[in-house]
Formats: sequence, structure tokens, C-alpha cells
Amino acid sequence: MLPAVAVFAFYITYPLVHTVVLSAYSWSALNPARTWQGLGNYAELLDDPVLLTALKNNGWWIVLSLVIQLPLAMLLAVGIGSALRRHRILRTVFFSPLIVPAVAVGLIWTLFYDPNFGALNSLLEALGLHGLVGGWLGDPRWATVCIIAVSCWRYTGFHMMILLAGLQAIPDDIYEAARIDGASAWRTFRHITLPLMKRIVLVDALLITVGSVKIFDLIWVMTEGGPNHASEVLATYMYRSAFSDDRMGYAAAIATVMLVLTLIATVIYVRLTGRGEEEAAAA
Amino acid sequence: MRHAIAVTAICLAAGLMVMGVGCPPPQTPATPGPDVAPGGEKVQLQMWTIWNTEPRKSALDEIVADFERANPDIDVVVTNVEPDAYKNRIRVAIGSGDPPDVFFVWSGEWLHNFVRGGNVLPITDALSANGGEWRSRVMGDALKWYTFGGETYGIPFLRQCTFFFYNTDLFARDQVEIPETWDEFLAVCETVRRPDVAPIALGNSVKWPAHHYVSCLWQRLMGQEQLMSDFDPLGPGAYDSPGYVQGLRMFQDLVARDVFNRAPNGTTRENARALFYTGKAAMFYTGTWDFNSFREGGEAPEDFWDSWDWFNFPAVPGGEGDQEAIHGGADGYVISSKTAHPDAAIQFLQHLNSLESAQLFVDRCRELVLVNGAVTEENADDALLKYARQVEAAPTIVPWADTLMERSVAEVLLSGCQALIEGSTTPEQIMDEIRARQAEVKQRLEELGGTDVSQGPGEELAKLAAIAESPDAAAEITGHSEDWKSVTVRVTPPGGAEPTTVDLQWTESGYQTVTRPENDSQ
Repeated sequence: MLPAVAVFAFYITYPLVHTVVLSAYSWSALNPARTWQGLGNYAELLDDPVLLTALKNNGWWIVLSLVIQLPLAMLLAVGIGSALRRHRILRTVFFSPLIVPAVAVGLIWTLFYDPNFGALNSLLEALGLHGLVGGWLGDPRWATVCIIAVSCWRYTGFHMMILLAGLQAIPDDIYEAARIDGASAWRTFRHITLPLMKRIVLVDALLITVGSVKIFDLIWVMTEGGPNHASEVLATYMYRSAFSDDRMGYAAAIATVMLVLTLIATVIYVRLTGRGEEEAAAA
Repeated sequence: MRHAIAVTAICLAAGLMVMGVGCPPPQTPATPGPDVAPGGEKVQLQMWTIWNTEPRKSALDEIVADFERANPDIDVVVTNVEPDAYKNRIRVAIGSGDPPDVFFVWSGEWLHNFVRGGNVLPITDALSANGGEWRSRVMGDALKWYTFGGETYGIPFLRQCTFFFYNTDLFARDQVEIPETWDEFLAVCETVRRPDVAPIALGNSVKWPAHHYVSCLWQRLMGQEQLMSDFDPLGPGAYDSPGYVQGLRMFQDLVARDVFNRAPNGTTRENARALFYTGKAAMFYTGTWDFNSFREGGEAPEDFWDSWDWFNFPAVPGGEGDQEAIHGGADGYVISSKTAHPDAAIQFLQHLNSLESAQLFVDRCRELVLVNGAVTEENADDALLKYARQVEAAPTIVPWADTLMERSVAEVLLSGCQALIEGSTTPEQIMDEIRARQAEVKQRLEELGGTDVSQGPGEELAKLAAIAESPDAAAEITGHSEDWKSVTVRVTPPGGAEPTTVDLQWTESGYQTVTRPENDSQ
């Protein structure tokens, strides 16, 4: 027990507390001197239009990732789950985007979206859809959506695997009983699969949500949060503040905001899964 | 100004404390330094650079190999980082307290920021040793870019300038003359335009290429002195000259004329370059670092190798700046103030800065190395010779705005240029934001400075205060009262101008300048 506490304190608690403390100062990484700001960094954050953009974008990330990835992963897991079990190759295909490093994924898709040489615009032009040809990653309206699409491509297979694991835990005889009772595929899914999968779906949703709050790599590789902060999220803005703008205290304040948001999401999901357990216990 | 002195004082004082330990005695390369560990263990020097592409990479490897052969007790480990990633990575390394011994820098505020934080080892003494032999190797006044407050903090190695590169075939097709003024330039844009040829390639996904236009226009409109006084993070930073808005408007006008390729903000620099050398754009505003992509053996297609040339940024008639000025910077290397092997690091820099290394580099890379005699008829091609002559003939070489402004203020400008392209902001708005950011930065720096006065009057602070008075000059204390409360400093500006004498008086908020009557200074 003690070693675990020590490791926890050293690797998690200390950096966490340190970050919060640092957020009360104004300082540069290149200069040892710090000035006390109190809540000054937070006051500035409240007033910062870029933070608002970042929060809004993180919101889009959460919503779109949940709405696209979760149903799609479920569809893949249930719909071709049995086929997947038999054909390992399919599983590998869906899972493979995740093994490719994010930087490589980002670069490949950046080429795909490139306004002058990219496959997307070439495709649209070949189809005669000249009106749809756009700047994509360079267009403030589309940049975030374009990156979320890549993220969905990358992670849906991963979530499918998680759900698949959940599916395999459901005993076959329940399905068999349902079949004997003449239940349709939809009713089987609605009344057997979904209730029994509730916890794993919630855990998966938590993973997606926390991942969307923390998302950094793809955005940094593809747009660096640009153009003009249009695809900025909390993590990229934190990084930019720390290492491009050289404002470490301000970056620490952003990190603290991220921490609070992630904690809130976790508490909500823990509550939800907890309730699920109580229901199961009552039943 | 009072605050400014105090700020510079604390920043530099912090730096000096660190440097005091590692300040090396000047020494000749042949003698092994005290860095050699007992038992003949090798000294290892970490070197970070952005020369991650050929031919620079192997040229540097050769130079390093030569050095290691001559100094078998020193090992140089080179780490290559992609340029845009390097900007952040080196900050992380320095911020985490484990910086490389020798690292690449861009000149200007970028370097100055490191210097202010006390992260760079001054090499002034080594440069002046042996009758200033090392100093005399460096071409022209390039060292001034690496000199702050009388101390020199590294060596400028490569001269990089930006020009309008153009496709000579496309210009010949339309019988276009090289434009000399902004209006002529706008006319050229229209002449060379075709449905499948954009007048200018612009890859602005990394944000800084578009700002080059604004930076040049500002210089042409207002002159460099005006810019320097506004850019100074500790200066008044008024940014109230109408030239600022006008320059941004002229760039906005360029965007409105649709002279750039599709979606510049979504285009990478590499793809903009490709648009240019595939003939899909007639011009490309870029730096001499792209020479090697265009010339024989480069990434451009073979039929392009002889189809390019360049001209300087056009003049803006009626502007107050030097209309012939070239825009550029000096890439170079500095030594970390935290290095455990200052002598070995200096030895290595001396080797890198030697005529042999410079000629080797020019021979392999055909770039303008800032060492006297490095570029010769034998080792350079026509492009490099033309460029070298152009630099020699230029009245001044002016750094780009983003290398002179404080980081976070520069970020406002860079993002602002992106926003101008997408049409989501106005020149006035950008300037308002820059002023606001500048005020915050100044306040922060002043708060930092306010704490240092407790140290009381003394030689160190007096020297720093004198330096703060005229950042590019050498300051020497010529007299002081017993308690150091009044100090006389002789300030020698670079370039052989008359030295002036400045009196400093101690007040409770630090040293202040006492203006003395004109005739008194004789």
C-alpha cells in the first residue's frame, strides 16, 4: 500500500498541485523570476476570446465524437461482430488506424485535405462539384470538423474492440432464449444487448469524453490550432501559451481548467455507472 | 525607462549569476581545456540544429568529423530537429533545465529572449582573444545581431534573406519587367495571372510567411527605427504611427485582389513551393533557404532548375523607410550558459566558424556563410554569387518583425495576418490587440524588475543600467562615487561612432539617467 501511495503522490499529486500553484504566477520558462498574480491569470482567461473558441471546439469534439464514434462502433461490433470473431483480418483492418502514429496519420490526412494538391479537392472537381471545393484545414468553418473526421476514422475501430469485448461477455444462452421466444433482431438488441452493455458503453463514453477534452496530437500536427485559432482546443492553447507565447503561468491556468473539466466528466460518468450497478443489484 | 532599467537589470543579473560560474578564459584551440575528465574520458557536447535536410546535414557531419579528428577527447552529438518544431522544442529543453551545450538560434528577439533569461554564455572574451582574430573572421557587422549590452552571445553563421522569387519563363512569356515599386508589382500580378496560374504562391499554414509581407511593408512605410522603438518589449510600444494600419491594409488589398493560390492558410509551405516550381504560381516570396530546392539537383523538376530568379521587395514611394533595404536574419549558434564544458563548446564554435569549415559548407550547400572569404568563384554558383554581391551592396539588412517582437506580441501579429486572409478581422483590430498585448508584456516585465532594487547600488546594476540605456552599444564604467550612488559610464555605439558619456544616479527605484548639457560631454 505504502509504495503505491508514494508513487501516486510523486507522479500524480505533486505535478497536479504544482500546476495549480504555478497558475497563480506570471513567468517565462527562460527566466527564473516569477511574479505573483493571484487569480490574475484566471481573470484574463475569462476575458479571452481564444479560450471561448477552445472551449467551444472541445464541446464539438465531445459531441461529435460521441455521436459518430459510439453508434458506429456499436454497429460494427454488433452488426459484424460474429463475422469479426471468425475473420481476424477484419478486426485488424478496423483496428489498424490506431497503431499508426498520430503524427503520420495527421500528415497523411493533411495531404488529403490540401487545397491545391489534395485528393479531396481533386475528387470533388472530378465529380464536377466545383462549388464544394474548399480550403478545408485552412478554412475556419471546416478545420475542426475535418480533424474530428480523422479522429473518428482513427478511433472507431478501437471503440469497436472495447464494445466487442463487452459483447463477448454476454452469455450465448440469453440470445438463444430470445430466439426461441421469436424476438426480432432489433428487440434482441434493444432489450438484451443494450441493457447488458450499459456499463461498458458508459465506460467507453467516458473514454471518448476525456479523450476529447485532452485531444492535442492530431490538431497540432494538422493545423496547430489554426487558422487564427479556429481549431484551437484547450490542450493546443495551453501548449501554445507555454511554448510559443512563453507564458507558463497562463498555460498552467488553462491546464487547471482542463483538469476541472475532466474531473467533472469523470464524476458524472461514475455517478451514471454507479446508478447502473444499484439497479442491477436491486433487480 | 526607470522600470526598463530595473527589468533588464534583474534579467541580466540572474543570467550573470549563472554565467559567472562558467565564464571561460579565452584559449587557443590546440590546448586541451580543463574539460577533459580525469582518466582521459571523452567530453560529450550536445548540439541541436535545424539542419535536418541534405546537403546541410552531411556538411555539418563533415565539419563535426573534422573537429573530432582534431580533438579526439571531444565528442559532438548532433541532434536534428525540423525547424518549425525546433522553436518549441528548444524552449522546452531550456525550460526544463537540461539544454544542449551548443544550439541553433535565429537572430533578433528570439535570441534576445534567451539572453535576457541568462540562458546563453557570452563569448566576447574568446572573440577578442589573440588580437580579435576570431572576431575578424565574421563577415561585415553580422556580430552586432548577436551582441546585447556590449556582450556577444554566439556566432552568426548563415545569412538568410527573403525575396520575391519568380519564374523566368512565365515572366518572359508576358514580357514582364522586374517591378520596382508597389504599383508596378500589383500590375505584374495582373499580367502573369492565368486561370491555372496564381500570381503568387503563399503557404501560410505555419502563420509566419504572410507576415513577411506586412513586415516589409511596415519597414518601407515607416523605417526601421520607428519599428525598433515600438517592437522593444520594454519600450513605449505605442504602435501609433499610421503606417501600421496602412501596411496591414496594403496586405489586405493584396488578398482582396486574389493574387494568392487557393486557401493560403490551408496550404503548407512545402506545397506553396511546389506550386511555384511546377509553374502553377509565377512568384513566391521566400527565403534564400529555398535555393537548394530550386537549383540543380533540388526537389524541383529538372526543367525548372534554370527558370528562376529573384527581386527585392518593391519600394513603396513616399515611404519613410530605406526602400533598398533587404529583409533577412542571421542564423547561428550559441552556447548554453548551463553547459558543463564551456571550453570545449567554444573550441567547437571556433572550428565551426573557421574559414575551412565555412568553405566546406559553402561548397556543399551553396549558401551564404558569414565568414570572410567563405564564398569564392570556385565554390559558389551564379545564384550564390549574385546573392552575396546583393547582400554586400545592400544599404541595410532588416530583420523580420516576428524576430524582433516579443513572442506573444508577435503571435498576435501572426494570427492577425491569418485572420486578414480569411477576412475575419480588420487592420485596426489587429493593431488594437497588439497594443493591448504589448502593454501586458511590459507590465509583466516591469513587475519582474520591481523586486530587484533591494540589492542596492553597485557595479553590477550600474553596468546593466548603462547597457539598458543603449542596448547595442558597449558600456564601460569610467567613474563612480564611493557608495556607487552616482556613476559615469562611457557608451560606445557599434560601427565606430563617437562614444558618449552617460551619468547615472541611484534612486529608490533603481538607477536613473541624469541628462547632462550637450557641451559638458566634451
